[in-house]
Amino acid sequence: MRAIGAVVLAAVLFGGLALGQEKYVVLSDIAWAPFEWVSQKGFYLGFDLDVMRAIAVLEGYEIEIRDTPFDSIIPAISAGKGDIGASGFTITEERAQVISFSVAYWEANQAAVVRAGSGLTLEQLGAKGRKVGAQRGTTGAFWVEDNWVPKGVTLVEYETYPEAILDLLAGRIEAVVADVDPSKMAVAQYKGKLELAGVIETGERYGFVVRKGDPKGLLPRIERGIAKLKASGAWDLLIQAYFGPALGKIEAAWEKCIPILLVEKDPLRYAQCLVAEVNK
Amino acid sequence: MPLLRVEDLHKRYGHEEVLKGVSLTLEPGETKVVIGPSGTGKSTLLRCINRLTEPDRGRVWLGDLEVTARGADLNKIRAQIGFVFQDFNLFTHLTALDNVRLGLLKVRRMGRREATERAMAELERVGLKAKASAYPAQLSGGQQQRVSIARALAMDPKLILFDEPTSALDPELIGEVLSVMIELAREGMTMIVVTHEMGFARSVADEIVFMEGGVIVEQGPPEVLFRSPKVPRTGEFLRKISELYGEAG
Amino acid sequence: MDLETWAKVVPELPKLLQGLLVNVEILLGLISLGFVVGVGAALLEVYAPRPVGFLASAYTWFFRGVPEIVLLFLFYFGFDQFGIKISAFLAAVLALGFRSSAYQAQIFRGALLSIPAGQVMAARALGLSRLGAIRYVVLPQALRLSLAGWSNEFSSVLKDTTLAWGIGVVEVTRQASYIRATDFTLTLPLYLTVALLFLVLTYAGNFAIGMAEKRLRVPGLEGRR
Repeated sequence: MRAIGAVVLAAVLFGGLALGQEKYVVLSDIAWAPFEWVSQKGFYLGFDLDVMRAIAVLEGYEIEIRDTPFDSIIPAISAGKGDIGASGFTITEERAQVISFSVAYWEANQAAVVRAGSGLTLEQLGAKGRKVGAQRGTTGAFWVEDNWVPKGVTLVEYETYPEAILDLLAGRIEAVVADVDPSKMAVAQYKGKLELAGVIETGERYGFVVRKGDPKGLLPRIERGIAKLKASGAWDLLIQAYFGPALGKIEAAWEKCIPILLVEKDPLRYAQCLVAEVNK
Repeated sequence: MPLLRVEDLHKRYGHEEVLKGVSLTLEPGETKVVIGPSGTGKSTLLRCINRLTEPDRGRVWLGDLEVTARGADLNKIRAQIGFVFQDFNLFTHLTALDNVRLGLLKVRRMGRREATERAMAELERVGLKAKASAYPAQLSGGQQQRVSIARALAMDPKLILFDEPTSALDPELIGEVLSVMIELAREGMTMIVVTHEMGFARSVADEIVFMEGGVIVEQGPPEVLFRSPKVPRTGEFLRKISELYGEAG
Repeated sequence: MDLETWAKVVPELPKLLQGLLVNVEILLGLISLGFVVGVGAALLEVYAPRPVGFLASAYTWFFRGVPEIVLLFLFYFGFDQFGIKISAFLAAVLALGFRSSAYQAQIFRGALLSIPAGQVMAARALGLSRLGAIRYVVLPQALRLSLAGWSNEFSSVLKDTTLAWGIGVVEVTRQASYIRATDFTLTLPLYLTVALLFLVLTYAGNFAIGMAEKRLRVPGLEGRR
């Protein structure tokens, strides 16, 4: 029974069972835990991706998740190389001119991480002479640019978030500004070396992305799916499961529970399973 | 019928007219030696015969086949005319054997075994059987030129054109090449030889052709040309060249 | 970077190697494509009539002048304009392959030009066609002379394969970023490992080409250039 389950799981994960259902390509830059990352065993998981899978189940279509560089996702969707972008896209007017956003599904505030014991507060960081890092192209970088650079802060931009954290540890910068969740993760990983200076309320919101004008009519289905997940309680359970627990624990729970979502097609029971497993 | 007939060949490079109407015939088994100051179109004449250089005007026949005809199968014609170059032009990446064998395999489409036997026989003929597996860089100039003669011979040519075959050689290496050529002439090979080796010309040539300024000034048997040339210029040149190169060979 | 951190990298090695395999696949694809097209372009540049030779020169000029990442985007997204769907992997092989062909063409062109014209004339005098002379006399020599330059090109394009992630090909640096995404502390050891893997591959490749060079060495051909 178990072996058969595994085969079916593999087929669903990698091939997509050819049931004659319509199939959409979901693009995501799968290196942004806990929204999306690749597990030890090579599975794509994370909050965004599980929401995508759950909506696909509820709305009766198939998806294929494709790892794509963040910067390429919007061009790829515009070019028809993918149907949905699910990669923690902040809703901005600029982006809305080239693609269409779903309703916001996430509100992400920014946080500043500093070296433990530095005692730096947000007010002290936003002052002349400070050096603050952020990942290029992220909301954190834009926020520092708009709010702190005019006050005399030097913004140091990095290709990746981990590089910024390494430079912070090395003492080359004094803080790193990014979304709250990755910031908390960094603090958890470098226990005793890093701490949170504070949370910056930006009112930033994430949305899923489709081609401009939604020619395939996906947005109503995605939004209906989100509403169903919220109504059933699965949504809050997914947040509980993904934001907080150690990644290794989430991976183990995911592998155990995912057949409930993909084979039995029951998002609520899946989310319950996930929460139960991560809390064991 | 003559083996080779050249009629009124003209060739111009830019402003300079290198050939100004050259005609000659060659009977089977005949050896003609072409002499003359450098830059008088001797090499160009040879190259026009198998159209390595395209003549501007004039016609060439090999037997009853017109070489200069439009649509003539040049590859087929060239395979019947051996050519020996001043700088040997052996293929650097091939052994002596492969240099001789290439034309047999790729032009004559001979079987590998047969081609090897034939090539070895030709190398033996020029006294280089032992050097079959040597690369050109491992051979002396004289040996390289003998391989290139073997390369020409292997194709069973109707005639061989020699373009100053000893001019690039150190003096002590000239003899071995000349003696191969003398042997060929004796065996009845039809040849045109452009050379400054007067000794060779005198002893081997059936006829000597003196060229200057793109035209044939005088031609005739060596004893006539050497003893009593009709044109004073011929005698003058022969005297000068004999002083310069001696008559060895 | 203590021993403990390094110990955490070891279990990740299979993933890195799996990624490296993709780099090697791209490499083999692009270098073969680059070789075939490069030799062709070099032959056209050297032997074809003026207009065709000019086109070949323009071709190499274009592919040498445009940054790799731009070429990748042009191929990956460009084909869509004509309704042709190509995978990111294929786009990477094509973009990097054509680019490499331009560099390989330069290498072969130099080698072709260094073969004495007299040898071609001797081949024609034997009755070989122009193509036959090129095939049996010029190419075998030119290819041997190209090996050293080719060795450089190999090292250079091997590194270029990591750019394929720019259009979504999951290769070794991407595998490294997967691992890094779950544990930032591994960043440095991971990339040091990737660097080491590339050094080993480069060494192995150059060693193999060096062996080939030694094997194909002909007296009188290696030094002359």
